[in-house]
Amino acid sequence: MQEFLHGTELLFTSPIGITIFIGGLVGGLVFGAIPGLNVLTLAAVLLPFTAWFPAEHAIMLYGVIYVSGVYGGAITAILFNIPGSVENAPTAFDGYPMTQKGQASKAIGYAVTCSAIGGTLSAILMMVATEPLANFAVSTFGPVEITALIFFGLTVVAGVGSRSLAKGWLSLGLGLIIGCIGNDPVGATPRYTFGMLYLSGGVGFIPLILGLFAVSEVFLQSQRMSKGTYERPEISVDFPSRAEFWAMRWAVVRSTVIGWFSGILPGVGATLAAFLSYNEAVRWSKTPEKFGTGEPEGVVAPETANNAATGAAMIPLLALGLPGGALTAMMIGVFNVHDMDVGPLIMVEAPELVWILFASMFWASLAIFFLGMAESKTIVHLLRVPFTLLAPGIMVFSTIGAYALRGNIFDVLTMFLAGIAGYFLRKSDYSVAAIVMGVILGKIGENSLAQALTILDFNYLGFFTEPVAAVMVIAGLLTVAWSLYRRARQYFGWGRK
Amino acid sequence: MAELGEAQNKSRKQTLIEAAIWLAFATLAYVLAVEFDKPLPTFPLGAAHWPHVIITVTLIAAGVLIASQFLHGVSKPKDDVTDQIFDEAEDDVGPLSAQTIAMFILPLLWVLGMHKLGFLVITPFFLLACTWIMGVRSWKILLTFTVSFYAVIVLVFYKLIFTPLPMGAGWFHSLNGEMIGLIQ
Repeated sequence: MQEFLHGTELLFTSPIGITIFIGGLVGGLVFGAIPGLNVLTLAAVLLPFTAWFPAEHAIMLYGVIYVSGVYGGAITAILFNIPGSVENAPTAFDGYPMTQKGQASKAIGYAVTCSAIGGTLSAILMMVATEPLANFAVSTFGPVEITALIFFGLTVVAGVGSRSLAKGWLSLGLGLIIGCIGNDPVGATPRYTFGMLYLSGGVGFIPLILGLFAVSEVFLQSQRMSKGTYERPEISVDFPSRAEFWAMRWAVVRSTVIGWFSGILPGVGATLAAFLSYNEAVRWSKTPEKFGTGEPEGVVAPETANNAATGAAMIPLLALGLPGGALTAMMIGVFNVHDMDVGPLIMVEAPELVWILFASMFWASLAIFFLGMAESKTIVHLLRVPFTLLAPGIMVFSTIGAYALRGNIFDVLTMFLAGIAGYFLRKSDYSVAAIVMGVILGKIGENSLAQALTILDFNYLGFFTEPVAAVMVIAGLLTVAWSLYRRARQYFGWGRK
Repeated sequence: MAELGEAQNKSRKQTLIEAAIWLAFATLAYVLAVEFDKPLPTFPLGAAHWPHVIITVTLIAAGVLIASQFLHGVSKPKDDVTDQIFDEAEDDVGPLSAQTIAMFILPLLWVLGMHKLGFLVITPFFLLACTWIMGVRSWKILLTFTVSFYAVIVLVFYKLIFTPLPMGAGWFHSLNGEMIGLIQ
């Protein structure tokens, strides 16, 4: 507690510190919320300038940007179906349908409150339990367990967003195959690259999600306009009521735990947290078929989890020097710029710096709640702009977002082709959510599978010899069996009078 | 009743075509995987192991999709929650309209234009065309929107955050460079 208070004191006693804190907070929110921009752009642009800042201000700035940017990306996911970053993609699955139902403000209200709760709880946990939890996660979750966890996640994903279970699995299969494009993670053998250098690095994930979500949405709305079936979303500024929040309490607790543990796992970070948490929300729901159509829990779960992961991601970063994502990797750069190496000795060598980081992330999470509440009542008015004018804007911002990341025109082409494919897939009731999840979980999963199989002597049954992995594999198999039974019961009318 | 039967037949035909596309896709993926289906020094199962697992899952799912068209289920009650939810999905889009086909083609032309002429030169034309295709016919609105939105993009991405965007090729590369020089 004393260290936390000291960190807070160092943070707020200097006017420059306060300015940087507010600047980082607003910058993260704005960059996260403008379609086509994301918090990584801001972090990358600022990185060289941190050399002129004192070390404590530089690292504090990145902590604040990280927290506020993860929340900011939810705004565009909810309003325009454009996830600000990968970890906000599951938020769009239900956030955007809520907007279409005239509940944009409610969706943002859920996102802001749950982001604040997830972030704050995570920051507290980070301060209290860094050491024991880090030891547990790092020692328990090896490649075998991560593979089993991902297998479990994939079995749930297949049931999301499609009427037909077969179409859910086909969507997932498409996502997994797309994830295979590029050099394989073990021997760097080119797969499905057709000799193109561009494809050797894999299909860009950001262009893919922009295409499948944002661009396909423009095409669908354009088609509706031409058929006269387009309905403009209603605008309301209703904030979720206390009772509505209370109904989400278990989802928040569950997602905080999932987010926290996913954040601790090195190399996985907030993205897996958001996707897994969404999966779990679907699995635990009494009406899983409602997910993908504007279910508030579909916003609450990923937004709580991705913010909960921010605090936890500091553990492998600070304790082991392992980043959980691109932004945490940039944080290592900030430490290096100031002649410091992150790793086990950082808590001994620079405890003040670590506690400033912890304190800044805690206060940033709380600040998001107040800034976000104001934002939820104002930013929804963007929806008053007619779609005929929004559409070109969405196309331009998405294009800039797809291009600016790697400076490659093929990324833009990929985005538009994914948009056209997304149009036909959505029209035929395939799940773009499952495709996206297939790509992200498949990429992580294949790498862990290769490592796990090597450990298990290439014997798949070996998964059942590791207790944690066995539980998850069995849970995954039960999920498949349950969803088959549920669909069959619906189809054949079993148990219906 | 006859109409319902016709609709069911149409839906079945469409689903069978989709299943055939998936089968073709899985077969193609399998055939292409032959190229890299070799054991690796550190991983004897080889780079094709994971794609093979996925292809198997895809084939099974396509098989289930076909089988589901020939299994005789019961008609669902009208208050079936699944239908209530998914009826709001993308069922209201109908067959492709000329407007949507134009919307498919325009961005592809824009990408080509960006590559050859540069983002700064081609984007105003894209904005104008896209807004027109979306249904705006008033020249006042078309021009005002294009000019003002273009100005915002230039200000934010070139003046404030220096985002590198396509510069075009040949003479247009120099032109874009000069324009950026003027802006910045």
